[in-house]
Amino acid sequence: MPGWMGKILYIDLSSKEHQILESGEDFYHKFLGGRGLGARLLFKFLETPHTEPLSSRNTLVFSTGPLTATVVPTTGRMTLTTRSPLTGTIFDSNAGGYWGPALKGAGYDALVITGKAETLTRLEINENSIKFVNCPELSGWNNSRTWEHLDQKLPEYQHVYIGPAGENQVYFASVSVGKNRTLGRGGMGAVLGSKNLKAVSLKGSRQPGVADRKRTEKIKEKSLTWLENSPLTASRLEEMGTSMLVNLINEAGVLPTRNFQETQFAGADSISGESLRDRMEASSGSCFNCPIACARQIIGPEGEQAGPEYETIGLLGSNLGISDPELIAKFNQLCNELGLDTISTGSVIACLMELVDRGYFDYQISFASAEGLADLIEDIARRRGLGDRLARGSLRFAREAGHPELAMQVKGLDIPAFDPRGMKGQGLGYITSNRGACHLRANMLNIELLGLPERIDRFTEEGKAALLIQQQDLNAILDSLIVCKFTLFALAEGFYREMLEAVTGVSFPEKEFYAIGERIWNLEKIFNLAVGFQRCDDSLPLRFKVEGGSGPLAGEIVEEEKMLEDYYRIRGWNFSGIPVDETLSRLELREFKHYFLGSDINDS
Amino acid sequence: MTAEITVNLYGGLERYSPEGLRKGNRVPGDQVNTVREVLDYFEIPREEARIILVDGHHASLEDQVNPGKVISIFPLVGGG
Repeated sequence: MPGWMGKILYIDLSSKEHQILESGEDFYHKFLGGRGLGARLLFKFLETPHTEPLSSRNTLVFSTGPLTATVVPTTGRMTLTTRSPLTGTIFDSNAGGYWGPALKGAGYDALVITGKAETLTRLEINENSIKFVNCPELSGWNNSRTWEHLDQKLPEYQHVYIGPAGENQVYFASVSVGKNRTLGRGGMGAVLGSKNLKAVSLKGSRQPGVADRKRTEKIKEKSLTWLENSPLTASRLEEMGTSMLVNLINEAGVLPTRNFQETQFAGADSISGESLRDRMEASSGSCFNCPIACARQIIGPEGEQAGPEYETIGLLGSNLGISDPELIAKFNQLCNELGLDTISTGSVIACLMELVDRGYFDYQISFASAEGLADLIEDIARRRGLGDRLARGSLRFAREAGHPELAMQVKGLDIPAFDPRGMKGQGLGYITSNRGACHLRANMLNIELLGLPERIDRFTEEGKAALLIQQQDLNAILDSLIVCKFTLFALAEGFYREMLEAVTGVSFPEKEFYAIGERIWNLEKIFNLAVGFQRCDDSLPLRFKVEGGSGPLAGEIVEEEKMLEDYYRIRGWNFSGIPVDETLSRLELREFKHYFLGSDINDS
Repeated sequence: MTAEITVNLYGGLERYSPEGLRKGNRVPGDQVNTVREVLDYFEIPREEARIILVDGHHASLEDQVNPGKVISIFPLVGGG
């Protein structure tokens, strides 16, 4: 089976037993790999979707895709899928680096981990053996120290690992991949922590088969040429990284400022990619087989560190009213060391600041002041004092404070640094995303702000559902192949199908190819329906529906009902957002219908 | 108040500013009537000006510009 290894490794941490399972072609052809395979395997191995996210029975699915570890550019990515403690939804996150190719090198498309180890444990996996290693001495170690330790001990291995935030089960703890890549967002680090799993190290020399080497080589050359010909993927991402967006987003009036109370920030230029480039010495870094090299390393007070990405600048900068780039770099570094998602960390602190500002909560903190912030971030990761309450995310915290409307989130996942009032399609993306407010399921940035491939009216709700769905399904495919989304800046859509066919030797007619994305989307939706999510959960915080923003966003609000109606209809779902029988049949998902039949949702 | 147009040149386009300024370049209002003329004023090649905002709203080359407006010009940017 070219492209795939055909094997899945299943590990139970409680019994220290493992099994090697084989899956049929049909399984792979329908779900590809990465995110699709992760969702499918989660259904297979999770006793029920209702499984508590931080219980021993929750299951982690690490997966690769059919293109992982091939010569196709940007194919070093891997996915982790589980049920999220932050959102309660199905949740997947993917990251670059070198771990994905190592999983295939060890001989597996996916690694499924369940159960709970008695003491802090790490795993060493290679082609011939699986070792459970007790490692209580690593308890509480920061990420860089952990990485150095693992790298020194096992230099031939690739590592994923968690920091203190993961060990302490912070609901938005991340998982580190290699030295400086991250599985961010929904608190997957907490799931590893709840299993006493500190790290998973892999090595192996196996390689996936390639069906048509000549065609694959041609495709590689062609895509390299395209990536080199686009100024973005050729040099701009390498020169400035994602932080180049700050000034554009600010001028367009969609930069979150002071917990989204405003959407333009007076200090934006000082925290922009241009300023960072001028002020900080930097170098670039890349993932396996990637010419884009978007990762920025900056020289900080303690040596080289990861430069803040755009999202971090938005959420730990403007959204807190902070305009000092060195402070943002410092908080970024702290979050990276502790293993905290920077978006949610910024968002829960902004939420606290607004609660205090409005007199709803008593604490010494205010917008635009960095005083005490580093300690607070540390307290979140160590679950000390107020940090312990913030560690459960903005929605739970704001609810406890009596003002859930001040948590800027959807389904518990904090809204990233694009204000939906000036990007209505992005807003629809936040409310319909299967993992909560997220810009990576389908970033409408390209279409609504950058004018790629052509500019459309970003302020209108009209016609956005159809455009968004197309993007969501396409991204589900990219996340399953897996290739980096940044290739979308340079490569034509049809190209991804060519890559898949050349590597696997399987023919995927166009319609069938796009149906894979739609199938994955619907399968994730079924998981969320099964655990009780309803139409009313597909909704933005009140602020975006009643208050306008700054500058061009004056008087702009999101009218979500109209978009949602279009969206459900085009998806082939009923009024409640449940896939109708015809949709399930078309996508070959009928076998999953029983998952939501028993839920509380009224079928209309 | 002088009748001026403010021009911001981002993402490397500041090299077209006579003072090398990113923000707050000034153009006398009587010297330019359209976005195209603003580009010509700074001698910015058309293909380099990929996104143009007038007071935060996307604009085309033929759009009128009036004194008091803020024009922000970007090369191709991306990320997210």
